[in-house]
Amino acid sequence: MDRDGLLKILVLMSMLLLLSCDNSSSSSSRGGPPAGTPIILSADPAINDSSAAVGNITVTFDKAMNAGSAASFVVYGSQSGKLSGTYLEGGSPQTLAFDPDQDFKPGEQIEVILTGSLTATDGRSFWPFVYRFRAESQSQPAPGTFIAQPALTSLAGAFALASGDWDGNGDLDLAVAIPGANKVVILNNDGAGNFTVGQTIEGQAGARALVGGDWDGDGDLDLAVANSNSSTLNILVNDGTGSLTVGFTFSGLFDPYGLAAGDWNGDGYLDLAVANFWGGDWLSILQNNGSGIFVAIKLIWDQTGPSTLIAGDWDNDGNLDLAAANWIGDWVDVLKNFGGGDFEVTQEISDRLATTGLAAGDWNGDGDMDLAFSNAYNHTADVVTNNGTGIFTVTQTFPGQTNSNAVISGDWDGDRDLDLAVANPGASNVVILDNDGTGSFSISIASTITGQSGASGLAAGDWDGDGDLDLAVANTGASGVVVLLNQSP
Amino acid sequence: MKRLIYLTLAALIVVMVVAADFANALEPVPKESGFSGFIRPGVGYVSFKSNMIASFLGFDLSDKKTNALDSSPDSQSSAIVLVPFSLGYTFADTRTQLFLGTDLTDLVRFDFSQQIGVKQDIGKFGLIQGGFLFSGVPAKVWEDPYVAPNRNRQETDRNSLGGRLVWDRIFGIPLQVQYTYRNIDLDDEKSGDFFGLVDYKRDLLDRNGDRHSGEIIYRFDFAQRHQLAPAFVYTRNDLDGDAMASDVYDFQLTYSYRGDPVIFTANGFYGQADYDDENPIYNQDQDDDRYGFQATVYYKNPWGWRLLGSNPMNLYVSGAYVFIDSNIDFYEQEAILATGGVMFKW
Repeated sequence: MDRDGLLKILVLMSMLLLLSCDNSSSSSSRGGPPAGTPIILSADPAINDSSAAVGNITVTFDKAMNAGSAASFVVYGSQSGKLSGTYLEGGSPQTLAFDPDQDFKPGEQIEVILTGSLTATDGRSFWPFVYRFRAESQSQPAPGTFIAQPALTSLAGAFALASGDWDGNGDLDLAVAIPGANKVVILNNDGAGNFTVGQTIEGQAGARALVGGDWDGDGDLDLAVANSNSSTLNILVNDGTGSLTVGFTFSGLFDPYGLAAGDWNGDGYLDLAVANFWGGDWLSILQNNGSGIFVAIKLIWDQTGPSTLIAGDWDNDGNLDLAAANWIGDWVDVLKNFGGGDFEVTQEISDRLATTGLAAGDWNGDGDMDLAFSNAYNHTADVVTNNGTGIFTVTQTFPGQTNSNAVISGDWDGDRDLDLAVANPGASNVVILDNDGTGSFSISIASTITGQSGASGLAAGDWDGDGDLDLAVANTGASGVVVLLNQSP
Repeated sequence: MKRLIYLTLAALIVVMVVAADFANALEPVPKESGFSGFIRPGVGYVSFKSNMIASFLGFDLSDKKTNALDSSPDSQSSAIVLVPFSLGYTFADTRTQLFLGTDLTDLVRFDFSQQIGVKQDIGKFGLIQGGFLFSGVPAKVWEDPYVAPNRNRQETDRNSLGGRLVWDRIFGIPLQVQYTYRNIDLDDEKSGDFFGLVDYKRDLLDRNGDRHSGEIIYRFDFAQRHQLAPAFVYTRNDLDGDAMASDVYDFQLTYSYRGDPVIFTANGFYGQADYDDENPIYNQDQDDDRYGFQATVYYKNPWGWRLLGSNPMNLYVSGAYVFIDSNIDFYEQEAILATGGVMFKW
């Protein structure tokens, strides 16, 4: 071969290399609904409603629909489990309605899942759509001041709470995670807000986060427990009487601190997301197969000490999104769900300091889900407003929330807007932030609840059945669990 | 697939060390019937960073535990002993040689394959060689490389079987082409097991499969005793997991000076690897840039020592550096190798 021949070979090699340098990547499919797919024109209660009246759930589409069913029009109550009811044609061919067999509980978060098995009469399949609203307080107005009940001191070391009607008797019970004792305790409610220790579920190593959900869709409320010491997630299955046993353990985690539940892919089953704390530094997006068995469908990196998660549809696209508080990283990540549980960080809200608590709700009544943070190391709580596209801005900061560790929302005063409560272990108190209805909050000194030693977890519900929203506090200190009834002083 | 890539990277280091031989022509078929061969015992030091390869020839190349799944691997260093060899028998009448031994180019790829094959001199058409490749000592990889920090990973054997065809001195010109096929088989492929990944995402990580590699080398004598040998290597890692499957393009240039008593070779390469599908753990397609260089000095026959009637012994020292820069930090790989030893040929 002469030198010209060699040169030709080298030129050919170079061309091949250049062709190989195409860095185009195959991204996952993120297409929206195809043309002609039925779309939602309106919903009643409205999407993201903060104070929905008890009644039917009605959805109006742009075209005539075939009847809904338990597989296509799925409704979960955060404190009740999967709701049974009657499927109706809501007065027009374009309207479907669901009449639940039981009323929503005051303040209960309702998740409506319109699955892909819904069809229009023209044969078109619906594109899955998931939305939430909050049931109204049934006492309007309500006192908005809280009276502490005798502390359940045997539960000292309590870190997290979940509220739900585990035994299906109509009143709200509590689940308490006690990480130092490696157990979860169910507190049974006598219907008047008096709680007694019921079942104790041992072997929950470092139980740090709880979330209720009907994982197996059998109509009763189950529980999920994040066990930080064993790096596991335990699914506690309810036998229908309130007796919970471990039905499934997911072990692909690292020091799990936070949980969130919701149907990420619109298949009608409640899924989970887990925050794997410092050293793990990732989020696990888990998919439920409908029987309470979970597999990971996505891992989300670039987290630094993620401790808390909350779900909501930030951009109103019918997919539940997430927010992740990074306790070590001092920021909150907003994660958009592109559908099917394909989450991606779209905003980082930085310059927080040890954010540990998250709450979501429509603070200003504009129909969008807003956020609130509690920041432990700068002793603040933030009110964060959504512009409707999932872009958030901090609009108010409340100092003096000493080592604030948790925040929760609820309509404490029965004025149909969502207020906040902040747990401050450094000050051994819980501070109530009152919303004026426009998303502007103020501290009600009269409603600062003291005596909460190491207040770390909060739960809301109508413990005494009087229609207004009460509170409960998990204290790592000697107070254990304290039930706060919403009553006039 | 990632592991294959890592194996390839690691192999590259070794290849660099052996690169001078790599760029050389096939050894001619001896004129006389009888046995021939070489043995090249050596010792050295290797520093290696990988999250994928567990060990090779008994030398640990990565830690049982990972520090973090979203960061580069730590380095492991070790003394190593390598004893590649080759043994052949020539039938002079038919210009045919049967051989068995370690192919240095495979050693470079941390694939301690043995090859048994036949080499045939076909006169003016050149020299052709065909061989069957098998793993005498399989490399060890991790069953599931992706586990949480401070969790132990379990080793599993990575076997490869295949074949190689080489045509050298094609029509009398210093051009060589070769094709290598391998089937890669892991005893236990459990990638994604720890994370509890859904099955279809685990499948994307499957490192079993086939590898096809085509290579063309031209040896260019540009001055007396000085030779350049550019090479282009295309490798298709056709692994079962699409996130592990890749197309790899490497350019390599080898310089050699063949003096007496010193022979010096230096070799550099640059390449890219493009993966087929999104990695289900890191949510992006993997892309690698690969580069490295090596240099080897042989000192011929310093004292005339021989072994069992061999040609005079050669001493050699060699150094190599290879780095695979992946857009996903976990898959980065780096190897530094320094070796020295002797070589006897018969």
